[in-house]
Amino acid sequence: VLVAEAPAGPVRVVVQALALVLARVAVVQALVAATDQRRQVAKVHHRCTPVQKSKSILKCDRGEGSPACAVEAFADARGISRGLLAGAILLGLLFIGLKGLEYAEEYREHLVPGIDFAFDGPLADGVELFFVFYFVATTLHALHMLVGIGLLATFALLMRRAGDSRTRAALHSAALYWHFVDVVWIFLFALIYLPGRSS
Amino acid sequence: MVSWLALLALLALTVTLAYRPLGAFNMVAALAIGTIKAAIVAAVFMELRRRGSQNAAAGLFWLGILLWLGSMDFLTRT
Repeated sequence: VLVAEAPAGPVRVVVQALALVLARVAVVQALVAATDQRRQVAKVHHRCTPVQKSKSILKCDRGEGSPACAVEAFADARGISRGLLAGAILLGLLFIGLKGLEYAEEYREHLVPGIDFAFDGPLADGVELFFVFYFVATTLHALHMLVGIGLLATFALLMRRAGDSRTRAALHSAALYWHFVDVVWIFLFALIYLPGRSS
Repeated sequence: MVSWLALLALLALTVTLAYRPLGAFNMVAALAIGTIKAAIVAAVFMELRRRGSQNAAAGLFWLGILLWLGSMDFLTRT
């Protein structure tokens, strides 16, 4: 029943595949951003003397930021991280934008169950069921993406100041969330956009 | 980087296969490739290859039950 009517049109599948690729790029960017700073911190800590290290722990505990020996390296890593986060946010917004264009197109074609649905023929029931699934699944996914974009933006702002270990751990968790939302899209793509292409 | 390229290659493969008339195998192939992609993301990007995956497996099990029950209508309606 689900396979009755895939959203059609080669242009749209290419656009959608492109959006998927871009979303993946965004995911990679976010991951790099998340790990880069951790590596830098590890490097910096390697260079620090034991006294400096203990100071840095004290300062981090008090939330005063990084130790003197680490300030420059932190600034570099933070700049890169923030740039990558900005890239991931822009790509995520591009994905949402493409989704909006797609929804507008479906509305024009009277394919939105509950709002404006008109489809003739023996497959009408199956098509309606498909679009209920389609809208529930993709809207939920888009809402989770908006949450993810908000999280990344929050960390990009937080990183204007020297990050402490708590910020890094939290960004790490945000990256894991982002990847999970991405995994969901992998299956939605296979279930929604690929079936019915060959006929 | 390698895993990212592998994901891109799998995306190209799955889109190409979707345009070949393979009957029921189209859906099988799409879901199989999707599963491989998800496994790569989970292992590399979600860092599961570097730690025990019992917790992830347990979470996946319960998520599977939720999705299975949630998709009853779509799986059974004729």
